[in-house]
Parts: sequence; structure tokens; C-alpha cells
Amino acid sequence: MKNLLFHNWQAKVVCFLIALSIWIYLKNHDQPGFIDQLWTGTLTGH
Amino acid sequence: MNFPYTLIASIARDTIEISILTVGIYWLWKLFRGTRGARVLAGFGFLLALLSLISFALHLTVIGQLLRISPLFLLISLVIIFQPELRRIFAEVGSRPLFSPHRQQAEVIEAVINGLEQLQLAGHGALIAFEREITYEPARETGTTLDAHVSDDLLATIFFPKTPLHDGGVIIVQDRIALAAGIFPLTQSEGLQRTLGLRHRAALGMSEETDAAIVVLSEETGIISLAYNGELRRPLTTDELRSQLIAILLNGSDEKSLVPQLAS
Repeated sequence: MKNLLFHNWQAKVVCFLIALSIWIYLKNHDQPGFIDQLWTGTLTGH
Repeated sequence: MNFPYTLIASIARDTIEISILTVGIYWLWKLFRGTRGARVLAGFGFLLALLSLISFALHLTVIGQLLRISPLFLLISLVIIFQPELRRIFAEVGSRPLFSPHRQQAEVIEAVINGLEQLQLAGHGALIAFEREITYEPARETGTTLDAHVSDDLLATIFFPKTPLHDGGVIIVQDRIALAAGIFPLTQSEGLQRTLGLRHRAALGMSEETDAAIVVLSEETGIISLAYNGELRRPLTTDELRSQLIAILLNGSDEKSLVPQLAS
């Protein structure tokens, strides 16, 4: 398990960052104003 | 009253989505690693991710707008740049077995060891890489594709000095000899013994670039070495080699505990 997470960790961190950005972008596309809500801390979970 | 539960469910859903995306991107990166366009892809992806995060964090609306229209162009250009790789990936996905039976790999290890014993007796050298998750594309491009069943006689024949395939290394993928006469990357390590030749340098270089386990049989001394994870373990008896290969290939354990003998 430790090996699964930490082997090649730099690449995994970069992949996570890329995934996070794609996710934020697509989420904002799907739910316009999502980034603003995230920014102002007014997410409701809907 | 319902609010915390919906929020928790939403966070769980988001976490699952991000995890799936991360795994997918990592998988793609592993498939593209070592290919010509990989550096372009990595650089572009990293830049895009960084810009997106910065524009999100600092509320840069103009950059955000620009980023919003870029994915479509990026997708089209990626398909064009990686057309040969994509073809290979789809072919691999279609032909890859769901499980890799341990019994087959144990037989492969046995065949390699028998082949090494034959070559050792004949005073010939060998360089054999067991590919795992990371492929080294340049070796595939330079070597001769075989896709043959692994057998001791075939290995002994490949490394017979008068044959065209004896120079370079053999790459074993699962239970097949994928190619022979592949050119492996040479290590730049300064700490290697001066008496060790190109085969050992190539084995060590390959172990630094990939997660493969590489077996070297010295032509001059008949000594067996194993390069793995940037380390060269030698001298090894055939029994020691067998147990280390089983640990790496079948058990996937950390073999550093298994009598590591580093070349100084």
C-alpha cells in the first residue's frame, strides 16, 4: 500500500494537480459560478 | 438538518471524481512515458494546470476565459501528435490479459536461469530485462521484435556471439520475449567499477530509467548481476538470482532486504 502511494510520488502529485484543475474547470462549466461559490465559501452541497 | 449529509455526500462524490481523474491521468502518463511527445505533453499539462490553479486562486478572469477555450484545441493537437502512440495503446488494451498468472512468470524465470547457465558454460554474455510497468520506448524502436515464447535454448541462441541479435539486450514482457538487440540507456553513474563493461552500464542505466529488473551475465568473468532500482547487485549465484527475481516480479516486495550486494 505504501509502495502504491509513494512510488513515483512526484509524478502522482503532478497528476493530482492536473486532475484537480480539470475537475475545477469542468465543474465550473457544469455549474456556472462554482468557482465564485468556492472562493466565497458559500457552497451548499447541491 | 439534512444539510451536513448533503454536504458530506457532495464532498465524497467530488473526492471520487478527482481520484478517478488522477488515476486516469497517471495511467495515461505511464503509457506515454518514454515516447517522443511525452515531454511536450508533460510540459503543456503542467503549464495548463498551473495557470488554471493560479487563475482560480487569484481570480484572474481573462486568463480563465483563455483557458476555457483552450481544451478543444489541445485535444485535437494531442490526437495528432500522439497518433502512433494512441494506436499502440488501443492495440495493447485490446490484447492485454486480465490476469498475469504467477505460474507462467515462474516458468519464465526458470527458463532464463537455465539459459544463463548454458551461456555461462559456453563463456558468453547476456543482457536480459524483465519489463514491469514502465516501458522504455527507444529500446523498442531500436531492437528487433520477436514476440516469442521464452525458452533457455532461444536465449542461448540469441546471445551466441556470431548471431546478428547477440548485441544489445533482450526485453521480456510477461511471458514473452518482446524483442532482442535492444539498445538500453547507459548509466552516467561515476561510482561503477572500471572493470564493468557496457553491458553492466546499460543494465544499470535501464534500471535507473524504468522499474525493470535486468539480469547481466558477464562474458569475461561469468558473473551474474542483477540491476534494479538503480542498484547493481553482484556477484549472484543462480539460486540468489532466482529468489531475487521471484521477490521482484512475483511478490512485488522490496528486495533491498534480500542480500543486496552493491557494486562499489
